[in-house]
Amino acid sequence: MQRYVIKRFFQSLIVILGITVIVFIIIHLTGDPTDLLLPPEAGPEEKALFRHELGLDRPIYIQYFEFIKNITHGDFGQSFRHQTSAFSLIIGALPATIELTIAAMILSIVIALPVGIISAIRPRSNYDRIGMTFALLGQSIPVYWAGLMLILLFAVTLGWLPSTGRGGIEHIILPAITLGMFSTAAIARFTRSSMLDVLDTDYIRTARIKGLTEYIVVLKHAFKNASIPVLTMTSLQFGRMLSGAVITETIFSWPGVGRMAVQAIYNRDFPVVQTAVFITSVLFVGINFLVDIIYTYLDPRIKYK
Amino acid sequence: MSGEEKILEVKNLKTYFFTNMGVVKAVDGGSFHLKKGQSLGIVGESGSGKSVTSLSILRLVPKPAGRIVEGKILYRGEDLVKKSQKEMRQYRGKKLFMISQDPMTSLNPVFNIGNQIGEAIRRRQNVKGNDLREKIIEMLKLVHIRSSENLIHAYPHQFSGGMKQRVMISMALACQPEILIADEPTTALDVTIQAQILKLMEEIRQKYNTSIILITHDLGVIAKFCEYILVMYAGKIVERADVKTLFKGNKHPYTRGLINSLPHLGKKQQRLSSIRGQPPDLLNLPAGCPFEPRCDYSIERCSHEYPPTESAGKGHLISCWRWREI
Amino acid sequence: MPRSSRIWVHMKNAPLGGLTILFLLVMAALFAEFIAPHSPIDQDITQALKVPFFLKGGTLSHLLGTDELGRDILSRIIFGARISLVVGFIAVAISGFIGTCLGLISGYFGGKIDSIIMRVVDVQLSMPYILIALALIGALGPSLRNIIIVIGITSWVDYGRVIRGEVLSVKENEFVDLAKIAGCSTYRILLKHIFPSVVNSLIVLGTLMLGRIIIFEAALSFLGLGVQPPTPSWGIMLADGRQYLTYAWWLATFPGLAIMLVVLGTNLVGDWLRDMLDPRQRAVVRGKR
Repeated sequence: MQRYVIKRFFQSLIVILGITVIVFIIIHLTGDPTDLLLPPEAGPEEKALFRHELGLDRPIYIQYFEFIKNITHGDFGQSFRHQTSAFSLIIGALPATIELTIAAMILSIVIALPVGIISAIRPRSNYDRIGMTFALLGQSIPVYWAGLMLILLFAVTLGWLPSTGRGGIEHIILPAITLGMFSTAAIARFTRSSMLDVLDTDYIRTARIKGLTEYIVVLKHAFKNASIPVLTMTSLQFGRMLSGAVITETIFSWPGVGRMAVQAIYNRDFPVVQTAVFITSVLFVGINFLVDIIYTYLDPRIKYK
Repeated sequence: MSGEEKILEVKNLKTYFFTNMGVVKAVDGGSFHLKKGQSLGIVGESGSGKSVTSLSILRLVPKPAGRIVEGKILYRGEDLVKKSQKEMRQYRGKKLFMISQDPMTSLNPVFNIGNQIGEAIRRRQNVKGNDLREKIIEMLKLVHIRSSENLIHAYPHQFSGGMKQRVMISMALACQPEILIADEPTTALDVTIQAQILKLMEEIRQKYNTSIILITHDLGVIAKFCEYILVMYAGKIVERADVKTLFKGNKHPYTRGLINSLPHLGKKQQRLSSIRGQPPDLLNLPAGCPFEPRCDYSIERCSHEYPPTESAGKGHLISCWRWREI
Repeated sequence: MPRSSRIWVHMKNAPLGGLTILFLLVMAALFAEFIAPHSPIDQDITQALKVPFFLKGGTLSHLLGTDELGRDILSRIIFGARISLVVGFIAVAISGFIGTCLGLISGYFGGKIDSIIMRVVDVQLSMPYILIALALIGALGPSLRNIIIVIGITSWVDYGRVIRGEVLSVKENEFVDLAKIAGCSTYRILLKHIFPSVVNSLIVLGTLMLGRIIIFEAALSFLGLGVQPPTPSWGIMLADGRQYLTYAWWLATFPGLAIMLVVLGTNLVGDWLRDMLDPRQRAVVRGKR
């Protein structure tokens, strides 16, 4: 077990390393910040001096090592726009994003799992048909449109819920629904198919032969097996949510990392953008790592692979 | 050996599967009975309907495609066909039990075997904790598995096929059923283990007077184990007899073909004989006897009229137009 | 069961709705000039913010109303189909090509190459693709060409993994060994033996990806980093609509509806194709024992 954990840990580290490479590449694609930071009247000697001071005239791999070194100290550079460290800006916005993502995830799971399970135990019933139709719709609706329509309905027309900002429960409902829509649909469909596969197996038949109640057969025997692939899917969805939060936060003016990143792109504030990408990615890698560990408790076969 | 009490009577059982491509008559009018403590064998090829028969008895025919369309399954007088799934749970795990073909997939991979055997035990007695553990150890001992704390917490994937099958049997024992159905219990195992498993099942039959229905395509196993045998082909029971009559005095061309295709030790044989032709297409069965296309004795009548079941001696029933001449 | 009747069973279940939607999409994209009642970029302030025809004050000449610059919504939607489809197809082609090549190489050769490619996939999957795309476009500048390239580059992973999985299972088949024994060159084996087995997945995936990429493009345009005005992209229309949401709801509703219907279409057709082409489909005959 320990060997597995260590192995996965190192794999995660390698992935993070890869992430730094990509972030670094993106930084360099954004071009020379010299022109942005210096006033337009600056002459070529001033620019050269500036570049030298920033270390931009050194070979690429040295710049990369500098980059890594800085990152490990939490130094992602200064925001061009606000005169503070990019890192602190992002970390400041992180709780809002995490709050939203968790809310959306909980909503998804609470709705999707029962829908998927019930659809699987009554396949082709009306219940199943309706449930899966909604799921299909949910996967076809673009996040931004869903958000706008929800605002239109609940904020503009009905006036029940606020359309922007972060605050109490009423502020998080619409964004959470918007962010969670796709995942709810995906998880529901997947739970259904996973459960159907499991319900077809010999060992479920054995459980029935033993005369166990359908309740136990489905929730104890079947679900524990079906939940394993569903868990993989859920963690993938989490990653997707971190991506999707960008749009949701923008629409609802939710003060999270996504919105900050988009603003930063508009303002060409690249340090902030890089930091946002990096932090979000590392967060996702971390979550995956945790999920892998949870796996070993769910599926006893994993440890022995 | 077995008493005269009939505990199971199957009358004209018809279990069909309704698929996109047509109706599969998996069991088409099967009738037989089972006595207390008897060992009954059902032999036939894949697709002959033997497994579906056992699933029908347990009312576990896969829905929605499969359904018992007609017939009675009388367990001690109660018609199981008429029972709801909820009512059937009173029988399953207490009076009826089945061991499936593939031990590799019959145990739930995410629960340890103590848990799974414990479930079976708790169907009969409400024991918990240490008492339960002791009972589990007892059950494992009955199938000759020396248990330890580690073993009880071990998972199915850590066991060999033979051990898994023994775990299944210990589950069966925990349920103390009156009827134990064993669907190809040894097919997936190698020969030495086969013998052990069969011996175990015979022990159980002797000790607890359990009736055992053994389903297999292996005539050797049938010969060793069963007192009475049904031969099935394409959903129909074509011949039934006690074991001696079946091997020495069989009168159905299919049975004849099966027995003859066994290689004989000691007898000089030029070539192995086999039954000519192809296995039947269950979606397109002929109107008459399904074996007709492969039968050396077939006559005109065979292709459009299914023969009635007639008696050829004590307990020897047969469905063939020409059995008298064979 | 003969293969032809199996195909027939699938044809019977074809999702007519989905196929119709996709058909309309292609028609709109190809013949926009002939179908659209107005030009998508002509402005006419006097006609600004007209309501759709089914509301009071609406006219038949602007079935779905007009936007803040007097442009006809319906026409812009029809022309928007062209943008969506162009970006969609080319991006699908690019990501499909990259993904298939890497998937084939990764799956077939295994070993170190496989590990490396899979690591890259892991890395890319860990990163929020929208942010990456935004960052890249922010760096390179928004233009149609750049969007297509960026979307193509960020989307190849889905292909890569699926194709690799397919290759892994096909690789075990005997005919591959036979081809090797017969002395076929690796290139030939890949092209003539393995690739055909993989084509089915490619078709299914391509259809599903088309929907997702259309959403992606519209997302980028919505955030202002996609297609630039005055080109009518559904995403841009949504961004406009957002500003006028409180008093001109039709600006945002109809373009979004179009996107949703198109994606619904690709999902339905993609699912249907998967059921039809995937050999590992759930058995049509249940329970033959």
